Amino acid sequence: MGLADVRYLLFDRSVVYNLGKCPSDTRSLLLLMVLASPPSHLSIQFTRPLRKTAPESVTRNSSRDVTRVTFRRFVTSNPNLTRALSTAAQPYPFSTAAKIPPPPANPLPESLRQGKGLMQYLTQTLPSPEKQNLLSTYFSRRHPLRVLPGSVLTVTLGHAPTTFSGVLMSVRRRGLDTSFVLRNVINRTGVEMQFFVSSPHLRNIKVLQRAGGGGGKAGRRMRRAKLFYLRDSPEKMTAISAGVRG
Amino acid sequence: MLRLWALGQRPRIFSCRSLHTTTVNNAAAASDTTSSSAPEWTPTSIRTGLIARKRGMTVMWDDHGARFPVTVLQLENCQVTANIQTVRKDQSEYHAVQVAASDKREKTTTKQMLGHFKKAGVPPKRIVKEFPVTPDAHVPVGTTLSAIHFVPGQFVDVIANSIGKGFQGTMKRWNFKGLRASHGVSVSHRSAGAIGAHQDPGRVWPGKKMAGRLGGERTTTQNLAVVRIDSSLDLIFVRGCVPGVDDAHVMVRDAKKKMTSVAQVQHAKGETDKVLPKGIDIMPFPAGTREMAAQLPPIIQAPTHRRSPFIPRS
Repeated sequence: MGLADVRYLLFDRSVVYNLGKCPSDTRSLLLLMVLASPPSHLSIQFTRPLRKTAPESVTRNSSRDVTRVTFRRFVTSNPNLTRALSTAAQPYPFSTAAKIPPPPANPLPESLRQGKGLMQYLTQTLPSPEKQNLLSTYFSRRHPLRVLPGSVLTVTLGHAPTTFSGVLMSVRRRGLDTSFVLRNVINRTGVEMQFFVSSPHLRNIKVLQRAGGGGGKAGRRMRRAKLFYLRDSPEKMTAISAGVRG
Repeated sequence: MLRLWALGQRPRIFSCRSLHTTTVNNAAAASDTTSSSAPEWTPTSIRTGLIARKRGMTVMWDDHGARFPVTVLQLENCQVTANIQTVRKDQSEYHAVQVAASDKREKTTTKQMLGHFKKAGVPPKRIVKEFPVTPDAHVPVGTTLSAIHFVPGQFVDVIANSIGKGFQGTMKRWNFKGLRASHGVSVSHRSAGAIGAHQDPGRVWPGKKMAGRLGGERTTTQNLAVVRIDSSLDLIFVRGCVPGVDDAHVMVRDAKKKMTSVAQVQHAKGETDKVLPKGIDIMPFPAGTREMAAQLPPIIQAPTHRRSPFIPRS
């Protein structure tokens, strides 16, 4: 798709891509061999036309992996930079272990460069689309589908305990740092857990019973934003949980 | 691991009589190879810093899913306005790079400063500060610096004026213990108590810790890890908190304790692998500029080197 391939006279492409994972002595040896070859720039053969800007068809791996498309040709006056880049075909020569997330959508408004609305922009762009969806629907202030305190939720986690259900006691809205507390009684012990919405461990949130609305048996409206009084009244906890099973 | 910057270093002169001729030959060979015009980072170099604005704080999660707070710093047209080289009274040289940031209207700038900025070829700026550097780290005047100057994974010191707290008592200002809450203490639960001895010395020592104005002074937070760089918006994400209010000007430079002095010590020992923090191969030298940022990926993030805190240790 227009990606530039680099074929070294001495190595094939698979070795270049795995360069980052070689043991350090092997890697030094490989770099020495390339450096020792006469004019290193001339020994590079390009099988496809170069792209001067970042290719758009960047393979998007999970956030843990480095971007797979690793070649870019740099035109710079610094011979050390050129030498470092040409030998290992790294997009970022200052740190091989660095991760390179996909670039932002162009163009960025000029007001962001002056800091206007920057933190809000970061709240909206830093998390993944699934987390953005959660933040803008379940945990927003005015969305019709927002979870109100008094709802019963089940949370699926990546670490133990894998699932936790409970009454939503509070939602702490801080943009990306939004979190909520669920309370449950397990083996006659009150247990509260705080979950951060943007945490990678939080896999799924299921609403078992919604609170709010008109009132009545289904959807009892709580008159508080934070239900810390539930810690002192187990009968109210039972009343809420009875509705779930019934 | 091969360190390209280590190739040009002078070999250490060992105190071995038999290596006299080889040492001389190696030194001659080293001087021939270091003939490139562009300066290269060395472990004894001290680079310039930047001036940024503290935009706020947010939160990030590392590769293992551990949460950590970050402060967002943004560069606002940070440019080099002068290179300073003076000789002190004891004949030692002082080298510095003067950096200015945040454009300002000409109407509100004094004639003296207007002339200074015109000489540098930059628009008038709000804040002008200088960073001491080594002689090889001077940057051409007028260069626009970028967030790419810092490498994710390195440590920085951030200097700013702390938030002013006004006139504060000794408990907040000097961590005094105060007096008891009960048992007869009357009306002086948070007071300082005694401020001196008796007839000897018969006075209050100068510098006695007392109540007074707290905050609003220059404060340095050291050894903050750079987590993420966004050169499209000139953002630097540092782990932890930074002094000052939001939108305050902060000075950011390489950490003296974890970068500069560690590099010098490890270089003197000969440990090239420990000169820079883990995962960093070389630093942009003499500075990370906007031209350099145009050729590199816009967003770079530091990997997590620590083990997962969610997996119990054996």
